[in-house]
Amino acid sequence: MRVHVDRDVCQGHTLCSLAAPGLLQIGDEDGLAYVEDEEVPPGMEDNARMAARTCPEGAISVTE
Amino acid sequence: MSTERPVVDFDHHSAVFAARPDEVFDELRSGCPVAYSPNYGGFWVLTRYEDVRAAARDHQTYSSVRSDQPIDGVRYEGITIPPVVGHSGMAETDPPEWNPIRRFLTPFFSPAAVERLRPAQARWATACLDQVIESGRAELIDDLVNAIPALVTLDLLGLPLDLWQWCADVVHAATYQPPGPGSVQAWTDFHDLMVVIRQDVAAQRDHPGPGVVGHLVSEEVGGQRLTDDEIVTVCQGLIIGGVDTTTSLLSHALLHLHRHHDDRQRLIDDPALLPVATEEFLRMFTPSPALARTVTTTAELGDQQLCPGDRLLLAWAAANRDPDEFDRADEVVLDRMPNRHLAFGAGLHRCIGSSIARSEFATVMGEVLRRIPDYEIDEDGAQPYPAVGVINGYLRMPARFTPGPVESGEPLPPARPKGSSAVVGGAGTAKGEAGMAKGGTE
Repeated sequence: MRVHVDRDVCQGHTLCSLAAPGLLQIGDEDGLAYVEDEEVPPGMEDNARMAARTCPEGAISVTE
Repeated sequence: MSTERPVVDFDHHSAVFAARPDEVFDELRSGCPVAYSPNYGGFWVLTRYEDVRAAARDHQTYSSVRSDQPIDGVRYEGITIPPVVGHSGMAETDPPEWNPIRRFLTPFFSPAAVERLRPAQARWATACLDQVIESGRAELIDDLVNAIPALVTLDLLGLPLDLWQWCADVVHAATYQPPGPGSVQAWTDFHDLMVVIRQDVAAQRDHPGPGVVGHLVSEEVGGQRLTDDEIVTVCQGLIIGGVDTTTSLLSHALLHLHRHHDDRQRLIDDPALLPVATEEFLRMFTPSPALARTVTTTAELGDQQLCPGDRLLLAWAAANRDPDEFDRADEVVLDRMPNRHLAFGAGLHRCIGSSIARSEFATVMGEVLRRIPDYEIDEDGAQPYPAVGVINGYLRMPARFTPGPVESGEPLPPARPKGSSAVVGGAGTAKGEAGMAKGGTE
């Protein structure tokens, strides 16, 4: 599974980082979400899906 | 498409609304989700989650701009209905003018910057409780939740900390008064405060401090220096956004945890739950119930046709209780997930200070749950705002708890009396005080 953040759409709500801590991270300086590696680690699939669902901007997409 | 406007007598500043805001929004959402109110010159009110979200994210169709002059025949009146006295700065600007100032300010509100504000914030929260903890009684609004947001906002801006009480009082008064003489007086008091702040801005031209103002006086924004007046407008917007909002969230959350001991115990037993629970408090007790936009072009919403110049109220608080978006929408579910609430808005005008708000909330709530975990509110003495169209908050919230020991003994920064040295004193005085105040927080 892969997860992608569209940083042009992200407005820094940070709700995704509560849904998928460690996977979705928040930039210290710009406050926007990012992932270090788009490949979702095993066991984090539900968190990645929840991160996408909890984004008010629709900035996060998950491909199975 | 409907050709008749569904007219409702809705007034978000009325006593009728203040008495039961959530029920009024529920009735609108289920009966007339795109409704037209004839009040304040006429405006649409949106209450469905998807409509509010879509409008907030489309700044080209739904503009935040406030302009004295009509643009292409359309009057732009900004983000409040009716417009408040004075421009709210960045929040009432759209791209392209919006981009440079938002880009300039964003680093001051980043997670890293908020982390730097945290030690002072924690000391002030300890000091607030120290003042009351031995007595076993507190007035939660004045003693606790009013002070921290004002102090943190001034600290961030790099303005004299001794303005905190004045700042808290005038913003508080300006938000809970319905449009009328009381509101005009409150905004006049607010502008007296801005006169004092302007003196400090001028003083920082020679000696820039470490906060937002110090950077604004010594750096360019989008290729040019801002004038003192423009910097005061920036401060004004950030003070309005930063001061009474978190206060409101804390008061509602404290009342909820008074009424629901099971939720309180869960947060005491599991402090790691607090960040997720904070989002749920934001959803249920949305501090700013609604903000406005101006329609720029012919548009459709629901089955209604909107015209250029139409005013539109986006009811965040109504969207946040939409049962089509949230299960058990009227219940606090501490670990709710997903929770894509709109308490901070959405789209590019989303609240710039949300990380600070969350940090203040966590600090104060953490301190309460640690030091006065058995607090009980006297509900007969609790007074909600008489008008909740700007901020849905409380005037009074008396509480009792088992007395405890003072921890630091460090007092809060001294408070300059409201109305003092608004004209006299001049830049030199303001500068000296700013220097002292900053020295105390570094």
